[in-house]
Amino acid sequence: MQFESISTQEELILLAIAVLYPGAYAYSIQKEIKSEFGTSLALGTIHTILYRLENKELLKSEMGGSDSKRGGRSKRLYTLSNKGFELIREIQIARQAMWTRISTMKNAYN
Amino acid sequence: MEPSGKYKPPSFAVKALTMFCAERWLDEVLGDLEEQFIDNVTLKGRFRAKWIYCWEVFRFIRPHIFSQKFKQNRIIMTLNHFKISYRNLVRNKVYAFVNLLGLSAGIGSVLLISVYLNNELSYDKFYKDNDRIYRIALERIYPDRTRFFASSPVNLATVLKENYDQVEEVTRFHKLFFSDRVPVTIEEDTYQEPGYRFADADYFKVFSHRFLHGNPETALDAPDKVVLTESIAIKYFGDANALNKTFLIDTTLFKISGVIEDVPPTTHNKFELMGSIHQLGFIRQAIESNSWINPWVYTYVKLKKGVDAAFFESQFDALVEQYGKPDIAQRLGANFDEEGHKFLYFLQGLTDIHLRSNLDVEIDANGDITYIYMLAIIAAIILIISTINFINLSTARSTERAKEVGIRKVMGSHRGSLINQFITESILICFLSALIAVILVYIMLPAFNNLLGKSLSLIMLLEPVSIISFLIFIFLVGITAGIYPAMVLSSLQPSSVLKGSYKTSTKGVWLRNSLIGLQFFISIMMISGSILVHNQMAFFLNKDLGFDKENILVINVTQPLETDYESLKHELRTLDGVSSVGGAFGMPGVFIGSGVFRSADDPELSDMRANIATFDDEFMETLQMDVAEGRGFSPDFNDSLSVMINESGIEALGLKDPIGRKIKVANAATGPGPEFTIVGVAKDYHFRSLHAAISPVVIYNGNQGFTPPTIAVRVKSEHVQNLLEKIEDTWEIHSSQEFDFSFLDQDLQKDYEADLATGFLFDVFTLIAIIMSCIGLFGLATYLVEQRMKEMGIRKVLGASPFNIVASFSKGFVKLISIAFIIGVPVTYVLVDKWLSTFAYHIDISWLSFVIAGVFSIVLVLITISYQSIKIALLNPVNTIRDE
Repeated sequence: MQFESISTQEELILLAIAVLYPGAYAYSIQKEIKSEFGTSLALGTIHTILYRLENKELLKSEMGGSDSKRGGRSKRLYTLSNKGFELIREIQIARQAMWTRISTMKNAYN
Repeated sequence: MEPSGKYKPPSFAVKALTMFCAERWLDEVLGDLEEQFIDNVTLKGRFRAKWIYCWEVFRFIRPHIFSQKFKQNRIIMTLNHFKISYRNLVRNKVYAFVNLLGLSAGIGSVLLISVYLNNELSYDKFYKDNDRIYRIALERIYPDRTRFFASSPVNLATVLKENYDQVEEVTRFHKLFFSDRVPVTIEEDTYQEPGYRFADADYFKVFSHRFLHGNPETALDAPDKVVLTESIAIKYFGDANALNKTFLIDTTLFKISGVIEDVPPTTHNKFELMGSIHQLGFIRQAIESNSWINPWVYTYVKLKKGVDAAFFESQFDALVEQYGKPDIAQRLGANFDEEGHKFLYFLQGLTDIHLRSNLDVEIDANGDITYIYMLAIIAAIILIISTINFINLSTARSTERAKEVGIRKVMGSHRGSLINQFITESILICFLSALIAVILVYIMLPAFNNLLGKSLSLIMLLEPVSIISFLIFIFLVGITAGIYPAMVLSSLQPSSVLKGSYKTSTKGVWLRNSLIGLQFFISIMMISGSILVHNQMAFFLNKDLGFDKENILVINVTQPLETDYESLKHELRTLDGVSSVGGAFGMPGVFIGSGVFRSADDPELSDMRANIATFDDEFMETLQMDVAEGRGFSPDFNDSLSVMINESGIEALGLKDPIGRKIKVANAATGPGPEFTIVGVAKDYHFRSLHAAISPVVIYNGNQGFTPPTIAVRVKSEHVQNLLEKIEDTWEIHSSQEFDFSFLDQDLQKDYEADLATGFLFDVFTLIAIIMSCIGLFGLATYLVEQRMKEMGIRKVLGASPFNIVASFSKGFVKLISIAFIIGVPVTYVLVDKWLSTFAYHIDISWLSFVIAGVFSIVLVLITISYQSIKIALLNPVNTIRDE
């Protein structure tokens, strides 16, 4: 199967958006990735990746409600497009298939 | 705002973000950042939160975030600046050429000088622990004078090692006095290699040399062991691995015990072969007798870590008192210290030796720190001149650029962006010049090396530190040179320039005039300075030395002859083209030892320390030295107990009527020696370089069984090449040693090589300074012509002749030179006088050189501005006054 080529960071962000639905915006994505994977991505990095993924039409964004905590500033909420959701699902299926095959050889790597 | 917003994100970071972030992103980005910030205040404290905020803002510096406005102003404009600069350069090719030439000469000079300085300052730095290694030098006080020796007595090293626990290692080595060439025989071939030294077994513990083969611990622990450098090993044996191979010196067999990497040229002790010091009989003897008198070896200590060198040095006071006294007393008498003999030892840092040490018996001629300072100052001066030029040329072109500036301003350009443009332009020109400079230096370096006898390379520039500092340096020069023109040009009022009535105010005139004045001040100093330096050099090379150094062939004898010296001499003399032959121990220019003499028949007269030479009967005649009184040595007399003394010696002894008087060696150790009769007084001759004054010399006669280390052959100048072959043939009959010859005048010139090299450098940079001053002047003249076009037009209409115009135009410049001259002359006088005082024999500063420098500068100025002044004088006033 042919996937659109995306980087691991991009995949992580797509996953985070799916998990956080419908409340995914840059800062909540940063927190999610930090708590799940322990890596701290800079907001600037996340912003750039989101911009890129949106250009690839893997996600959609719209300006969402503001919050008193953000000094009344609005946030940009991201959701996956169908194409984006299909992509991470297919990656996951392909990985799963490979993992099942690995587990039979597990002893070799102990 | 709500309670949690008690702390605010750092405002400068917010501002920065607002500045570069596009409108469409700003709100959400600020929101995200603030939300994160507030969380961080509770989680990590406000200081870290602020820090993280700044960092996050920094991380937002990404292309897609930038606002269009920012992109245009910062990036596109910079590209546009480059484009405009390029067009400006191409449009006015003369200006571009002059400007690039000036700046690249300036930067090139600085580059060249810094390469040279870097080389000079790197001496001996390649030795490990060089900050802990010191040479021990000797301040030897005699009753009548003081001498500083780089060398020290043999026993010093032993005493230091045994009695001073601050010392980690001590070593000493010896360099043969007269020539450090030792004839090395391998099978059939004999090599005369300079750079033979004789060291203690500990040598390589003090001085870190990398051993390619062999063990440094044991390399010199037996008298027959020798360590070679790699290139010598390859030369002798065809292979770097020469371990355990052997060679002969005379009839003694030596074994190679180690091969080291070649010694870098940046050391004060450049050696090729290192033998054991125990190889030398007289040193062995001195070691056995605990000698404290003769400074025959160089002693080096490596102090333990953390030892204070000054404190260590202060303990030397007790050294002689405690350890050396018995031996010294034996030689000089028990009351030597009361008589005024003192032996004071002091430390010289290893890395200071090359530039700061100029003692007697240095291993090789060292550099001189004053020359280093001088060159650094010259580099700074040239850089200043080229920057001034750039400023002058740029402002001179302001009329040309005025319309451009006006249009730009009308189109909405800020002053800031105009300043940016001009500075970008000057930085660009600087980088171009730097590129040209690097290429020029690269091309010129081999010639430069040749003349200076150095091996400089640009490799040092490839180190990251130098690349970065060079780039920063160029950048700074660009900004310094660009800032003033940028200010002037960007301040022009569009309303007036576009109307066509552009005139700058007079406020910059003072600055420009003083800059040009400064340049002339420097030029006059350098011109007169280099004339004087030249006079001094010519004086050196042509001074009457008391003998005729021309056409003297010197044969160095390092091995005993196979026949006797007399027959060799006889055969050489009969060769066609040889006018006379004489041998001596103590050829002028060669280091000779000294001894103390006193009058044998008048105890009232004072002792005299004199250098000792030995001449055969024909030597004085061969060198054409004069006898002032009495007679020279002659085969007609039995002269074995005769001496000659030079005039200074007679004066030092205080003898009224010297001929026939007797002198003897004043040496307590050997008892009263034989008495010598003074048969003649030799006219003072310069047996050392002209840096030193003539001192007393006692000349023995070498007759029976005397083989001199140097034979002088006076040749008739016509067929030297032919004659050389004949002399060599004769030589080969009498000796198995390789024919080793030189010419006396060339040998003597070696003493002045450092001075000649400096003189050469001075010339080069004087020339550069003069050329650059002219360039600057040309720029200023161009500028003034533009300024005074109308004035001169009106003068002409009112009846001034072209000559009047040229005169009134040149007047201002001549005034500037006169002021520069008046200030420049005394400054130069003081500086040159100081330099000359370092020579025992020097010229008087002649006023003529200043007059020449002054006249030369005025003529140069008039020629430089003549193009512009004649142009303005010939212009039709109709064209110049028309527009208004």
